[in-house]
Amino acid sequence: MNKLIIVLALFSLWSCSGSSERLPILGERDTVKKMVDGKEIVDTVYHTIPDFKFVNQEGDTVSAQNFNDKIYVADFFFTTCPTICPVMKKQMKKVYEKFKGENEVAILSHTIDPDHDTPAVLKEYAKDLGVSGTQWMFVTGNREKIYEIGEKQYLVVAGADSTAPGGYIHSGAFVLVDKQKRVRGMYNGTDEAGTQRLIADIERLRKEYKDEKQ
Amino acid sequence: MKNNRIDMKLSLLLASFLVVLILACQGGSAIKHEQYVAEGFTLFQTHCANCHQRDGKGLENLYPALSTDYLKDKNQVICWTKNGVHQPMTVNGKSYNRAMPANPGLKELEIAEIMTYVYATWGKETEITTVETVKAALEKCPPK
Repeated sequence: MNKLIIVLALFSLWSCSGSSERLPILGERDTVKKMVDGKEIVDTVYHTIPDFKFVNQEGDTVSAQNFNDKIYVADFFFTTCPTICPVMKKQMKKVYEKFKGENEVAILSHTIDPDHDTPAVLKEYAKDLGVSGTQWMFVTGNREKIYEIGEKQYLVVAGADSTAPGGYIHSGAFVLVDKQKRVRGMYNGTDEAGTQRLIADIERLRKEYKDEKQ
Repeated sequence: MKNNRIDMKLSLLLASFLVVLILACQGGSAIKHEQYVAEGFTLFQTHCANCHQRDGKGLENLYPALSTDYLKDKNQVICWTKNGVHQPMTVNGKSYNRAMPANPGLKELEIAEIMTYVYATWGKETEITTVETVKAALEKCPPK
């Protein structure tokens, strides 16, 4: 009996350490039954980010295809935001500097104030933040579509609120999305600990893909 | 002789009283400075640090650092704090052209506390910025 407990304890330890190497997959999931080689099997369908169409700081149309085969971090902000956005952008800049030039990693910042934040305004903002190229995309587009993708797909709050400073309310979260467009992590973008955890998790995710290839 | 001794005692007493008074007053102003700095720190975190950052270094070319160049005219900084900035400015040779939002809700005492904190931290000042200074500066602010 004692031996059994020890074996069970060891097994649970092993299974825990095994699962902690892979990041969890977040969001609602579904199961579908399908036939493989004449046998019925149950498959899990994960929540994935659907296609979208926005315009980036260069004035180019951006869709989900631009992020194919990329691990990316999504967030929501607006350029005239007096509250948490500057803090988030300072933190995201660290993520950008860390993975600058890495083709596999991208950043996607959505403005929630598309009336003001035109591609030209976003371009100037990016330049003043010290960001060049399009590894870090700043996108604008249809207001409703931006709020919808924020709330329903990236699972964060984004919207207009006349009582909030600057007129908009939004989450301070950074959302980590994998190459299959699945949400793999949510991080507090307003503090250093959250940012460092995100950087570590991007590395973990890259390693997952590298290990899968081998 | 007796009178002399009483005089001496009296003057000693007076002298020591004066010393205590001076010490107490100095202590009082130092304590007041500390209070202003502490209150100002909290207000700074709420109203200023998002853009100018907790370390006062600003953010790239978006928001200027609170350097001695930025702080050189305290009356102007008081106006900026209350009314915001709506034209480009040059700090340490870099130009910044993003509007700074106004803080119409800040009271004169709160601005005095913020100034005391900012000038103690990045301007090496050891005196408080008084409410009177803030009041006088605000009266002379350029029209918005």
